[in-house]
Amino acid sequence: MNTRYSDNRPLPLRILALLGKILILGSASIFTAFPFIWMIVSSLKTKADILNTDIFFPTEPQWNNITSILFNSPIPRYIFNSAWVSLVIVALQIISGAMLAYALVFLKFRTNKILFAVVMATYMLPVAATYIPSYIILADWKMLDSFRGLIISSTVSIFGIFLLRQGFMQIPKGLVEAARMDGASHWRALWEVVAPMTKASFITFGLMNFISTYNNYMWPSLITKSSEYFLVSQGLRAFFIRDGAYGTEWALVMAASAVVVVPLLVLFAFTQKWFINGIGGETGIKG
Amino acid sequence: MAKPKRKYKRRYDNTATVLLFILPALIPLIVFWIYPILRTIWLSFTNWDYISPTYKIVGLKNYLSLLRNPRFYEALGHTVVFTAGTLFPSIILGLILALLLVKNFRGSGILKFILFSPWITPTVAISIVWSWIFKVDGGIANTILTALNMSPLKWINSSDTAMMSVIIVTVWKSLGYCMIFYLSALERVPGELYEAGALDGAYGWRQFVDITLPSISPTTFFLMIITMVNSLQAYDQIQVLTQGGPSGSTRTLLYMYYQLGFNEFNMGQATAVAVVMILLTVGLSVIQFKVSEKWVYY
Amino acid sequence: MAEIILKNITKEYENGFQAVKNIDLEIKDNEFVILVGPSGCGKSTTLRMIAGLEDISDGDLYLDGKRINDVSPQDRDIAMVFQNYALYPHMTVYQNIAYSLKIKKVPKDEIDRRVKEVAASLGLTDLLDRRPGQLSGGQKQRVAMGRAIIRHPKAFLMDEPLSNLDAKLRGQMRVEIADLYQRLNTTFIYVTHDQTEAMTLGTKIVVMKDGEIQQIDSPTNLFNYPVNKFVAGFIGTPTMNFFDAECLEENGELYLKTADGKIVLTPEKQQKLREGNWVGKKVTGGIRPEHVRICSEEETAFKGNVSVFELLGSNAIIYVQCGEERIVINTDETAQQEHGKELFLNVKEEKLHIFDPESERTITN
Repeated sequence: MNTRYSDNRPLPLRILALLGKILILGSASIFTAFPFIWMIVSSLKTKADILNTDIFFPTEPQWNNITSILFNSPIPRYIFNSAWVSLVIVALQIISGAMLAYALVFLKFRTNKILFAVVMATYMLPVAATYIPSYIILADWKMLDSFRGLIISSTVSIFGIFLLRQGFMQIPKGLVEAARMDGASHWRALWEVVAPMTKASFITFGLMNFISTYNNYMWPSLITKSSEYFLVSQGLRAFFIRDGAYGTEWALVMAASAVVVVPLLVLFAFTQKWFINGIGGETGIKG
Repeated sequence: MAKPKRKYKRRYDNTATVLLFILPALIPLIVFWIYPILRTIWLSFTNWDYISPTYKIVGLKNYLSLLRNPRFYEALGHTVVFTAGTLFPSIILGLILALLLVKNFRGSGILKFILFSPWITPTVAISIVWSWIFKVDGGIANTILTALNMSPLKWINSSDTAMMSVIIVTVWKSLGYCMIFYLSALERVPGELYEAGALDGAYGWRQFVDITLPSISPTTFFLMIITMVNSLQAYDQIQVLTQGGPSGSTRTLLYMYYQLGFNEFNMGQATAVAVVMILLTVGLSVIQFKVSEKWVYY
Repeated sequence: MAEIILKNITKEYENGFQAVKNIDLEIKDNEFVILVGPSGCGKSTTLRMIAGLEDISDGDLYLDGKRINDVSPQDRDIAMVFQNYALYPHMTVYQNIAYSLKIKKVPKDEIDRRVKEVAASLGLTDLLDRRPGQLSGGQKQRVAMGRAIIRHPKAFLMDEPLSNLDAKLRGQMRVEIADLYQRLNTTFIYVTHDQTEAMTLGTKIVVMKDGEIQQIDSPTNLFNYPVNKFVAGFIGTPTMNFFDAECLEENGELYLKTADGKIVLTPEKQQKLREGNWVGKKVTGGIRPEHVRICSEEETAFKGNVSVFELLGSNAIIYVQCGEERIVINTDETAQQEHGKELFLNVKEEKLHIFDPESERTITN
């Protein structure tokens, strides 16, 4: 690593470079963090504070903004909806994805390559192009405006299949063969031998898909109309339009956003390495 | 010795097992991916309005009327501007940040955390925050501009600046994502390459151009495709910030598709737009694959 | 405890390549069968077909009289030791050995008893809590064997189990496997490319080449009565010497005319040559290095100069350059032979092998 930049430039230049680095990283971090900070400080402001752009911090933190969101708004319900729907969806995606990835890597069948090509091709296509027919299907099945409809239309994750396939390919075939000789069915070989060895891929898969399902907006907003089925993004926007009324209740809107965003940031803080390793390291992007 | 008649029976993994393993993913894939894509293509040749039980095949009419519709060209243009406007800043800034952060130092972990965090937060929530930042009167963005002695902007309320505002939010969100990809790509550039380069006298800028850039070119390629596909499909931030306005200035193809399909129930036109999007994705991917043969080194 | 029969077994890949061509093999209960041959001869493929890891393109495979072509490996009750051991890295040694019993839902206390018993017999007792990553090559090898033994399977399959070990450990493990076979009294099928392993371990050896079986026999028969030049050359170290000769007749006696003289033939060999109509024709002679003798100039069959002399302790290997050809001698005369010294060589007549130069089949052993 220390061979990367053999820096033998003169001292003033090096100081300049360091200053440049600090400047770039500093401004990028401020740019990135600012909306979060602004959201949090604004969520604690009074109406008067909000309108006065000269003050950054709230004159007196209005914790009741937060408590009213937590106890007197539908936001917690949306969070709960998002959380459990995402958990169910991700669980199903992991099972279906792991099985397909196992088949692609360890089972021999004639259409193996074709199947992989099909999966690969769907990965590239814009998912939105499927929405109208998918909407019609759910309408035919009487599953619009229900959790069932949300779940059943998301039981497969192509990204996840890729991620797991990549992980599975690192496993020597002999291990699965050994498990088969030990009397294990393919099902057991998958969950007792292959899965424990590719734990990292599974965790990354779970976290990434949990987050994206949790945050998902367009598709859920197309198929659910009653607020009892809203996921968090749709709920937040409904709250924004109704209570926020585009301007009067900014503090409350910011509080609602903060209640939604902060737990995710905390979750991310604890699971950061799985995202980072998973995105960069194990998705099989060479380079 | 070899018998003339060969029995090819793939008996080892019997069909039942294979089916059992592929169907749980394949059925949803067919029902909610492959069939809808084909159905979309089919619908784009009809005049269906969602309400009527019957519809007629109208051939290329939907496409022809799209081609005569100035809104379509507008949306296409916005899509191109939006895609280019998010693609290049995200990738270039992402690479610069990754280069600065690849060597660990005190606090680099926290910086990575901050820079990546937008990606995990819901676009809707964060777009709401941005719409508050962009507020013309009393928004912090204009307060800062005024403080810097610059004239305040109308941000999402003017057709001149709305697209720029949406792009800022999108770049803000995808910057960290590109950075993370580049970080792991940079870590995997073999150290010997730099050593060999140093022996040849490659330092600093030369080292970067001759060694680093070619080594990470597959990642650049991948990010270009992913960012492009994501940009083509951007919806959340547009819906929250501008709903395609003001006066259609942020209406991309996807947003047009949404409005045609789910507001106007003009399914024929909407699916025609969807097919254009599919063709665009496929076309751009093919072009990128072709071009990449020249500059991607695996 | 199993009898395995392969009938007309063929393995053909989708690209048309035949890895195994129509082979027949009967493996009796309790036999230690070795499949041996150069790499790519189809031995591993054959083993994997028996295991069920590779589908059989054509032919029938029977286990105890039952056709098992369509039985999946998990239901065959056959254990296998893999070349790379294939231990589960996320399980401890204990869990690795116990895994097959756990699958069979054997009661916990019985699993525990059997794992400990097996571990004790393989000297693994102290390693039960380790993971494979913490073991040496030899220890991994033992765990792999333990995992196979514990099941009391109908047959053991071993695919080059010693090829990843260093020479010393390999010798040691060879003895342990032989010992294991004596104790377990079960059918063993063992794949190797190493003919020493084959000769020392097997009760029945199957020599394969290019997907075909060349010869199935006991080690002694294989050594003394190879059916063709390939088997003769493959079995035994140093390799058998081959030379061109002509079968001629003089005073009613047949002899072989060689480069520098002649080789007298025993009456049995003469008879075989006559029966096969070989008089006056070219043949290929073969003699093992230990059956070459140094003789006087008058009775020489080959003469040449010492090129290399290797003293191995109780015996010595001498490489003699005879014109184009090189003859290797394995002798217990360990007196140093000077480089370049001229030697006159002949063979122990009763040990001479004669092959058809065209088909390479054995004419007489």
